[in-house]
Amino acid sequence: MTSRSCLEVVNVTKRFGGLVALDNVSLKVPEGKIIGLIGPNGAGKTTLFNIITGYIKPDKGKVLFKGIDITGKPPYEICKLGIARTFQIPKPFLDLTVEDSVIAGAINRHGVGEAKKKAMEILEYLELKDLKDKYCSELNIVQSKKVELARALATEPKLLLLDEIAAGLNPAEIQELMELIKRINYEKKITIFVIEHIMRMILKLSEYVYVLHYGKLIAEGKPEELVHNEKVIEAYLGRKVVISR
Amino acid sequence: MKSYIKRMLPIMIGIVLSFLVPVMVGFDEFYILLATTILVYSVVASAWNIIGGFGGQLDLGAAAYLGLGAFITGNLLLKFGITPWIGMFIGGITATAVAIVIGYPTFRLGVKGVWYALSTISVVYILQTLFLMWEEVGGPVEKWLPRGEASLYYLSFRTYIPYYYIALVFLIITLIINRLVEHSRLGYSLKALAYDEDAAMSLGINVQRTKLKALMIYSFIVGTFGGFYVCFTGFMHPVVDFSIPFSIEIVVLGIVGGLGTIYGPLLASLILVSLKEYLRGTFGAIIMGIYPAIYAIALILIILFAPQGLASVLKEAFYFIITKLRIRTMRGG
Amino acid sequence: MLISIVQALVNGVLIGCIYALIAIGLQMIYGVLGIINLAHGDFLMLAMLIAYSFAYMTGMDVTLTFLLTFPLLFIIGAGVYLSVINPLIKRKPLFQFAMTLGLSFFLPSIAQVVWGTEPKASPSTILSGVIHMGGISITYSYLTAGLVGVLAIIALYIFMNRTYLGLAIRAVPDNKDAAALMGVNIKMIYCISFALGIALLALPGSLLMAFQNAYPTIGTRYNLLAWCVVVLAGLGSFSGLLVSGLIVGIIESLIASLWDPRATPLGIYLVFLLILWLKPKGLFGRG
Ligand SMILES: Nc1ncnc2c1ncn2[C@@H]1O[C@H](COP(=O)(O)OP(=O)(O)OP(=O)(O)O)[C@@H](O)[C@H]1O
Ligand SMILES: [Mg+2]
Repeated sequence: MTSRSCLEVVNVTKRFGGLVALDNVSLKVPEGKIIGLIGPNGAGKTTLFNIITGYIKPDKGKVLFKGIDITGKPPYEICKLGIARTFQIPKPFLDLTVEDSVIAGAINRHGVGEAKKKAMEILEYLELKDLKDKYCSELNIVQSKKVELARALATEPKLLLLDEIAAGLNPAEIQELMELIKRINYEKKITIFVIEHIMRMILKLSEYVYVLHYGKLIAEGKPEELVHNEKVIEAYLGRKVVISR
Repeated sequence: MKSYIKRMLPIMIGIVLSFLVPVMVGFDEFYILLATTILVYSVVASAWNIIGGFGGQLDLGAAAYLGLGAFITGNLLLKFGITPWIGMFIGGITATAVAIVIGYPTFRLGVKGVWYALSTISVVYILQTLFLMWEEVGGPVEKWLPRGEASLYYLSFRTYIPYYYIALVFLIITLIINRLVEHSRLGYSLKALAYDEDAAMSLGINVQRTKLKALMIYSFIVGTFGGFYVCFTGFMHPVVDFSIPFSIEIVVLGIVGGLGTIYGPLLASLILVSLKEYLRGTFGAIIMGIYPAIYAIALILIILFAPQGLASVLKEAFYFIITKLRIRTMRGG
Repeated sequence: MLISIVQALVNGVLIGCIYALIAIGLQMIYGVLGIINLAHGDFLMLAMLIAYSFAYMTGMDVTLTFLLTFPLLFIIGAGVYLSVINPLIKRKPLFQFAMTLGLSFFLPSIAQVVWGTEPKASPSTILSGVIHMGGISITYSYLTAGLVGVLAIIALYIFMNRTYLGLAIRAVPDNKDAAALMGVNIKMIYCISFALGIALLALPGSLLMAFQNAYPTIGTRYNLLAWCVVVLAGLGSFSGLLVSGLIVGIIESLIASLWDPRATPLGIYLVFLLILWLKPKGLFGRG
């Protein structure tokens, strides 16, 4: 990888009791790209995201964002530095309206008046404007996921972490979401790091993919190379159908 | 502009009507006392709304702040003749200081939900006990404030009318603060973290600091108001001023009013405290315990059947009536 | 001096057993239904006054009235559960909590209607005597309370671990779906657990009546004290209650005898705050 790193994870290890969730993991996310992270259930993907965004402290290792050591900083500071995320299990503000949820994302960089304008822009960008007065409890899955994305974008990140954002959607919706992610990456110049179970999607979306298995990085490379990687196929044993598009 | 007037109109009518209450009840002391009592609950419940309604923190410490304000103001007046207006301010500051001492570790250590409720109510117990034992300023016998000439300086009057107006001003200020908070960065942050702290943090919200700010505003209002409260009741007693049931009642009013709205706690206090006082007047002397029992049943029924709170029930009822009327007028016309 | 400390320790241990007994039902209700009940002390007040009435009406010794109080409290508990708790069971915990706050207003006032506000003392009991042992004295009532407390906790332990109903009750909070699949009727288990949690107050209720007066507002004190014992033990730990009950009892009686009886809440609630802050899982709580 030649271009400058946006995010760098260096020798990160995390144990939960006896379980080693992440074992000496190192990886780089270059500026401006869409990078994938795959692995079977329980591989440690979400744990890695939680460490990057400050929800969990690693036992060992460092996380660098644009060269600055952010290991152990609290989540809100990491957000202010420019990393936003979505959650695997969505965490909507059910009592708030869509608009207010997005404003809550925008207020950390702007005053309320400006934040409202900003929120409207993002809602428009994601074609959510019609939903702005709905409560988050009234939304369907696709809408919830988009609102969560809108909220994250409202914090004006330089790096966006998406944790299985396509889970539970149908193929048409996935297609639409993929276009959207690409558009965000291209138009807003936001680096994107995605966890995805749905192979088809990650292979089409990302330029470079890391593979985690039982906490270890077992492979990395361009998507088309990985499809033929023995270790990856083994890790996904019984899932060959899925992996070969 | 037109919608602005339309929105402000009910508020204006409310303010005008509330200023006219003493006139409407024909300056009857009994009703003015009743109205002032309702205002006392409304002020504290509306202040609680900032941390409890917007921020979702089940704070059961209202009586701790009220009592601190009351005892500080009362003692400064009794021992040094210091005007309650200054006493109030010192009471408010002290209440805020105590709130920070409790709130900082609580929020820092991530004490949430019901654990937060339990820790705040134990603070009320601790303060009540301290003031019961510290006989110089408290003690088990009530201490009466001097009731001399009527005086605004000493907040001492021979009728309840001035107390009513002062409490009303407190309420209006508290509601304005609510409104300002709701539309500020603090308000959005509070509403977000009330539902999900992890998600709020991912948006750059400093959860600890946000909660602490809300707690400070709330405790300052209630502490200051405690200084008024002691002049209104005319005496200090640890069990009355650091009252556990009062703390609990405030939270119940907040919940049955409807969380997250400015009008919820206000409406709940207006309606339920009037109901309680009416019941006290009607049944209080006949059978002991019957009026609080009916009051409690009313609270229980609202929790059971109106989960969104009184505010939304009234709103729905209002729209229901409006649509009915519209249909009728349309048919008529 | 030493004698008075020993005396305080003995008293603390014995009253601590009663505190443990009071907390058992609370632990059960929280453990199974996840409800933060802030009216538990008020149910205890009810238990005490009912014990008083049974003793008064039947001429029975008040410490034995729990035989009658237990089934009555069970029915009351089931009634309360079915009428006001069950309809809220799917709602946010906030509403269940609010309901117990509502009950903490309702119970004392209804008790006032039934029994009036005067403190009620039970007629003398077989437990009125005192044993003297080398300078310290132990009242029979405290001693019985202590023994019964330990026995009851052992009995409950056996019930929860060895009987079908006990195991079913334990299974529910761990995995509702699996329990439902196993054919456990969740609503029934909830109802029984709540009712049992309340009925278990029959024992401490009648024991307390042997040496204390009862009146409608006495429950307020125990509403929080019972939580103190539960939080100190740790959520889910039944055997831990015995230890935490003793700790609370001993703190209380040491403060009362060495410093000032009025200061007891100070010690207890400061410990409570520290536990809530520093060790929210309690001394024996499960992770
Ligand atoms: N807070 C925690 N405490 C204990 N164990 C945890 C915790 N979080 C995760 N784990 C464990 O760590 C391992 C990795 O979990 P993680 O959620 O990171 O996997 P994942 O790759 O995201 O899986 P999935 O595809 O199912 O989302 C799992 O075995 C999980 O049970
Ligand atoms: Mg995951």
